[in-house]
Amino acid sequence: MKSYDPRGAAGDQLPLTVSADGYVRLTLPAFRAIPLSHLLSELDLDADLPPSTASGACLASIVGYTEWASQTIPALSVGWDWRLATTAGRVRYEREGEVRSNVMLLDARRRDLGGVATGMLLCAAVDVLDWERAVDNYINNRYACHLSNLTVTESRSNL
Amino acid sequence: MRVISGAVAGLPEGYYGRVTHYRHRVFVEQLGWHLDAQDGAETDQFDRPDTVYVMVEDEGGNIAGCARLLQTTRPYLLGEIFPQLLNGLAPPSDPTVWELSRFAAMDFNARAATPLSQFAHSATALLMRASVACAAERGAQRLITVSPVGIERLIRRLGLEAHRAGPPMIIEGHAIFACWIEVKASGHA
Repeated sequence: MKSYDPRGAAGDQLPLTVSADGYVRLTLPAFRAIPLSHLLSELDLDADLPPSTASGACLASIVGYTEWASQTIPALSVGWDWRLATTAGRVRYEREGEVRSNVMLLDARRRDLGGVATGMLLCAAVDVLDWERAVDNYINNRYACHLSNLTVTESRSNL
Repeated sequence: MRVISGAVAGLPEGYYGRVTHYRHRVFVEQLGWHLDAQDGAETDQFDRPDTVYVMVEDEGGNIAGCARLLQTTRPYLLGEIFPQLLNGLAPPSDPTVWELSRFAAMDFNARAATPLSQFAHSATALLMRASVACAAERGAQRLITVSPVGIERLIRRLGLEAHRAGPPMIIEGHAIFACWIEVKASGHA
């Protein structure tokens, strides 16, 4: 795993600290320089599922959330929802909605970018991470029985 | 639905007992948390005369949700039991910061009540907004919660300004985390 040296992160000269409001403040280049590790992923069995988009069939919709964190002290924490999307017969994970975090990004003059801008930039940063495989492995191990049942349901409904 | 709130001495007769039984049904029986329980009631050391309770009661007179508010200037759950969830920050001790805990809105009269359905019905939104308003009336500008991670989505869906204090941790098999909620930003201050 790549080690993190805050002095070497572009645009950031200070070590990480937690502010009194609970945020860890850093620039986007500094955030991108810090590796994130998969903590946990869960199926969201309580999600409001959209109507099926398949004509004459009922596709099983699988959604959930995932949590990632850095090994730094203090830790950066980011989490987001995902959905298993089927496109042209291929199943893949897609981030859905905003990224939740304890991060407040700073501009080059070390001013807060604000919650909205930080959220958008974190979404873009998450989307270039290779997170799908870790989530898939975790979910498959944790919910092997449950996913097997969902697969059966999907197969039957497509008969 | 109606909201009932206050410290034990200010609650209508019998409501404190009802809320402790409701908590037992939710947290012990449904969610499987290992909490102190006696005679079907769940209480702990933070249920004190100064503790503020917020309840939602449905049209049939059934408790449909509950929450607990604690001042951070006195012992509270996060500060005493789970300070590690604050990511290295010292637990706040501030009259403008209150703790929200034991938040649950589970409708046991629904046809298929499950722990995972707790965020799905209208009592949840009412309870969260009432909890924030109740804290604001007592001088809170911020809330800190100890909750299952799923509550962060609920809070943000309700339009409240909130962010997590640090990564979730698996404690006794449950993923929990601490989350800051801005009371001023929600229009109650």
